Amino acid sequence: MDLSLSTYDEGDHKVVKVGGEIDVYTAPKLREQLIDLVSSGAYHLIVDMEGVDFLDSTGLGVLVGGLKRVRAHEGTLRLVCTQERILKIFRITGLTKVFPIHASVAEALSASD
Amino acid sequence: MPTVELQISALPVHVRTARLVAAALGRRLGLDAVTIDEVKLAVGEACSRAVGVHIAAEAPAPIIVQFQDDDQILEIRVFDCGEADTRLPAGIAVGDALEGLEGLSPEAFTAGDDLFALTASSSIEPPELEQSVEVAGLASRLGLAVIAGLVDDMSVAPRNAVDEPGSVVTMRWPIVSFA
Repeated sequence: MDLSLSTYDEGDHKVVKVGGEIDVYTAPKLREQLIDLVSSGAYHLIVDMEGVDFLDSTGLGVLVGGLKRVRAHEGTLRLVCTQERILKIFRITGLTKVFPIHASVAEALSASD
Repeated sequence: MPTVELQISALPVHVRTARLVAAALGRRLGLDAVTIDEVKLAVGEACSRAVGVHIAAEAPAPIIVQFQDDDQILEIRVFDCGEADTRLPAGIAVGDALEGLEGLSPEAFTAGDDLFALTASSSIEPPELEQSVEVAGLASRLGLAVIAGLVDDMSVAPRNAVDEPGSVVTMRWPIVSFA
């Protein structure tokens, strides 16, 4: 399965809905998407990972890269994920301390108010 | 003799193939779904690391993935050809991989742009390559941290080939069949 990406506005946030597999082959697409958003002035991002079937360390690297980019503009990057097998990878690498992780887009939005 | 041996060209696109083979073998051995997910992820991480090593070393040889099982142990070994940091992240505990990322300056991230300056381009200019190798080294360590976090019995060692550098990542799982 390949990676699917779509974006939509939710208030002053951009939501990036990701589906499929994020790995060393597909992660550059996500990276480009995040770079494009930040270049276009979107500094408050929510990455919705509920449709993600697979995530590896290169995917984590891209998300960390995105976080560093939005932070350079005093922005935020929040994740939406409830899948245990994906959450486990964030826990193993200690990245749960770095990313705010929410159960839904609505929760992520209310957390940034 | 390994039960199954897979050779893949050192390209990101083939890492998924190795993951699928690992998952198929796990299913055949009757491993539970959570363990199969872990095997798949660990094999993917080891192969992604090997792809980075090969591209950095411009090594034309394939990456070799050996799967071997007996009644009790599933052993998977991933062989690369190239100079690589075989040190495991210190302590390999939660958060250690993160320290590597936090220690990375924002400039290094934008300059090398994660692993992809390295893997996305086949013709890399020398200065870019230097930065990329440095950043890929960090990505590689993050990958190893994921493997170490997932797999209780794992090691990274020099390959001990006489005429070429390289390393081997060995991972072992107990076979607990629920079939």
